[in-house]
Amino acid sequence: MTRTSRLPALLWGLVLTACLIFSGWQLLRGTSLDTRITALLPDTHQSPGVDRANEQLGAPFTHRFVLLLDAEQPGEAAAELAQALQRAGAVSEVRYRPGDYQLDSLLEVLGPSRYRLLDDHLRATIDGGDISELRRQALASLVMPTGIDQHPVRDPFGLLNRWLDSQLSTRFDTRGDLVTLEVDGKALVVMTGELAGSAWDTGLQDRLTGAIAQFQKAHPKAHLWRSGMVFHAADGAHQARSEISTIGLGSLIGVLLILLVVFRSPVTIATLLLPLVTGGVFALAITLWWFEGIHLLTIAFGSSLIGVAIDYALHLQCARALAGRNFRLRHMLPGLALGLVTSVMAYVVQAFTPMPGLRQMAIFAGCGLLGAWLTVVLWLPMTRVRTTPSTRQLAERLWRVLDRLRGRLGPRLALVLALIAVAIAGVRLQGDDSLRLLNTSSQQLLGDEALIQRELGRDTGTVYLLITAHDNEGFLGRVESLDPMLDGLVKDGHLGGHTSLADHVPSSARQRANLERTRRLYQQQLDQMYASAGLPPALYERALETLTQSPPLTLDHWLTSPLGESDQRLWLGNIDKGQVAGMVTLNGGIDDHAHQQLESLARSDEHIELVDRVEQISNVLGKLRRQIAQWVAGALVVLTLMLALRYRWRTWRVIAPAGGAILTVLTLYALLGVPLNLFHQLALLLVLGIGLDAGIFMQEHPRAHHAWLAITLSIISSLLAFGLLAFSATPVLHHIGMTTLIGLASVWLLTALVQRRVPKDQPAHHDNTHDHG
Amino acid sequence: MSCRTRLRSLPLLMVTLPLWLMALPAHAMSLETLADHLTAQGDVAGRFEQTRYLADLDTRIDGRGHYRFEQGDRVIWALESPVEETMELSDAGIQRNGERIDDDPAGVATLIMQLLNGRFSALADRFDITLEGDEKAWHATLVPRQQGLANYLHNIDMRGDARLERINMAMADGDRLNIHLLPPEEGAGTAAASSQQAP
Repeated sequence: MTRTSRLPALLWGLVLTACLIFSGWQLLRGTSLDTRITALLPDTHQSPGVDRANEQLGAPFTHRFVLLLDAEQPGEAAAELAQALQRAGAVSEVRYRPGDYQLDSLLEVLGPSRYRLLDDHLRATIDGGDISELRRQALASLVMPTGIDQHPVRDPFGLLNRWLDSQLSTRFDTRGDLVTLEVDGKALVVMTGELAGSAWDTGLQDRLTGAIAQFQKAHPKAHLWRSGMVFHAADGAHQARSEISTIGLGSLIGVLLILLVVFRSPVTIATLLLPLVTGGVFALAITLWWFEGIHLLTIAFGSSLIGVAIDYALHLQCARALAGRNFRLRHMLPGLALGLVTSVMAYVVQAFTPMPGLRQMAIFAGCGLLGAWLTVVLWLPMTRVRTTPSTRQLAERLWRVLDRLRGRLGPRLALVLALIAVAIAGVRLQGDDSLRLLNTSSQQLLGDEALIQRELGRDTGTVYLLITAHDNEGFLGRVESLDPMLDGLVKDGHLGGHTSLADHVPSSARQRANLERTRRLYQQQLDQMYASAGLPPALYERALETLTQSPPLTLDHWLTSPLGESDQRLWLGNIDKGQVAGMVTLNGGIDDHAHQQLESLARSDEHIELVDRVEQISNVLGKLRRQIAQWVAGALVVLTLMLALRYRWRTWRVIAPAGGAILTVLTLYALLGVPLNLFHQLALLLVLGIGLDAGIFMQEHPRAHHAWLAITLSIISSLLAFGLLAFSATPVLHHIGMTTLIGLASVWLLTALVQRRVPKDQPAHHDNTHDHG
Repeated sequence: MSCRTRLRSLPLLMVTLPLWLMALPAHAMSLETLADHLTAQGDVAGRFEQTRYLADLDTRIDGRGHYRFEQGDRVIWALESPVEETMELSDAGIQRNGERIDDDPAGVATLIMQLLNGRFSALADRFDITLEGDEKAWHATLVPRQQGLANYLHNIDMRGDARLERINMAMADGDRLNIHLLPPEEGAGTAAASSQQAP
């Protein structure tokens, strides 16, 4: 090595040291490991109202959780569970007893306005005129009050109690000082918790699930149902972590074993693994710096990608091991450089997608490859490689396999096969863009979640109407005008339910009309009622006086009161252009009929927007899938042209392994009826990168045993990494694994099949000087 | 959800408290023995008089009617004056004048039934219960354990000799509800009998 080549190597060493220090500092500082599957999703560029609405509506599901508990001694079990959760430091608050709910402001907030708050049923009764039953009940509760503040003057008809009855869920109950919910004839304790931190904080997830697991161990007969983002995030993180360790470790051991068999030298193996380490350090540092954090899936996906980086080291070291002293780096450089450029191009296509998660993966993979490549080119030539006869023997044996396969696929047959494959894939291949792909939760958890959301009417804010108006009154009026239609959908079973602020705060027009009804009721009934109860008639004037002094319940007052706190998520307040906005959430099953009705409603009124996040995300996934296909097709055309400059008519042999493998995968999926999804396509990008590498090296060194040895080793090691991914329970990783498994096997076979027939007895080590045939 | 759970406990308690308290036998001076004797009780029926005192108006509303408690099955609290209204509690839930109250969960009635059958531990969850005196003249005070209930209800005071005679509820705002259970007349084993005997 000369002095001039030592300087870049030294510089690269300094860069890596800096990267190592930076990453170490970032990780020690507690940079969060992101496990949100939704981080993979694009920022859908929509109105700021929708973005805020999405965030607000999802917040309770994100920051809180619900547990249902079935135990023989529910009181003690619930207390133990609550204590365990608090001791673990996972929650800032747990509620499971009636007294845990702070409602002391009930009378204060709603009391003065109660005469303006009449539910639909009471309104209809008063308007209908048959109020004898109303009077009888009122009289009975004057003697024996059965609700709060049923007072002859303040509330002779128990309006506050009636309003509350109409407002609150009837599903909850109290038993033995526990809040319970009856499900299938069993009273289950309802426990809600507020997380002490972020649902995606893996430390918090561990503390929470640890506390619950401990409780379950102590109470094997108790049954728990869980709902909340934190559990899904924990499930995803747990799975990803265990899979990274098993799949990562599995592939590492496999690769090491194979390399040991081939090179029989720990030092050589160390030099092969060194680029992976340096590539990883470089990629991690750049990703942490760029994104200020790293997604767990990036590491899972990216570390497998860096397995591709072993390509360069393999090509170099195979060549050195076989060539010995005749080795010259400059003969290798064109192939290595083209390999890097094509692979990085294939991965960096992902960086153009609007998915932040994929951008991160693209950057991570690109940097990893670059880091590994620089290490191979700058550092590896300085190491020593032991030449062993066994390596040569193996290379020759592989070469004989290649000789047997080569030339069997000529350009004409290849073209016909490609056309057939394109026809089959074009006709039969289906797409799948459903959100299920992103799901990492266990069946058990999904079942729990479905049960709790059904029984509690809890919505996660995925489908809603965004309503805008000029002011609060306009908003409430607009929502009230929608109620009959929504109620109709609920009644006919097209919709589970709907919730909005207008349920709790009637418009002031409606409140005024209600107050008039109450006045009418008082004027018609109160005298008689006082007489029956033996109360002085003078109270009548006092009761009417309370009506004139009754203030309307305003939206702002309700939202700032402790009672209205949970409704804040339904209100956006002022948005731009002097408008206010709020949401009507739709929960339970929404069938096609309801969807169509709501869509046509939204189309006909510019102040109403139907937002369906699941559908939106599916649409985006689909769009992205088509976009990537176009990008890759475009990239392939550009690469073909680029490669044609160097390889002329041999270009088809360079393209065939990658292109053929992709077509094989697509045709196979079309025939097997596997719908193609975004993640299959991402995996095809990897197949493309590795396939191009193989094609390029075989053309750069057509007679070189070392090239074929390196290609074979690289594909085997990548197959090990991705083959194991195919067994992942995470759907995303499974799809990636399956596709690369089929694709890479095809790449290897096709690389051999499309090579030109050559005279058999070419000596292997001549290739370094004469391999550009 | 939250409001309902707490709000419901109060009215229901007020309606049903007198009914199950009647079953307290005089000689049971510990919750355990009380529980034992409660399970041994037969059906009880009789008349009641009650007064609601409103502190801020300094006025009272009187009422009267009859009660009937069928051990382990049903509780009937029938107001006759100033208006007729019958509350009935059973495993099936709460009925007002024969009509099921929709928004009242059946689970509460079951809880009451369990109480009447002597499962006192559940009641002690909600109240601190103090028993004083002896079988001839006993006195029990129930103080809500939880602030939520205590905001409305100060305490419940019960007195009796061989049977429960008076229940006085003191509300937090100074209002009072006093219930006087008149002695059951001989042979008044059924609601029909007791209402026929009513003046």
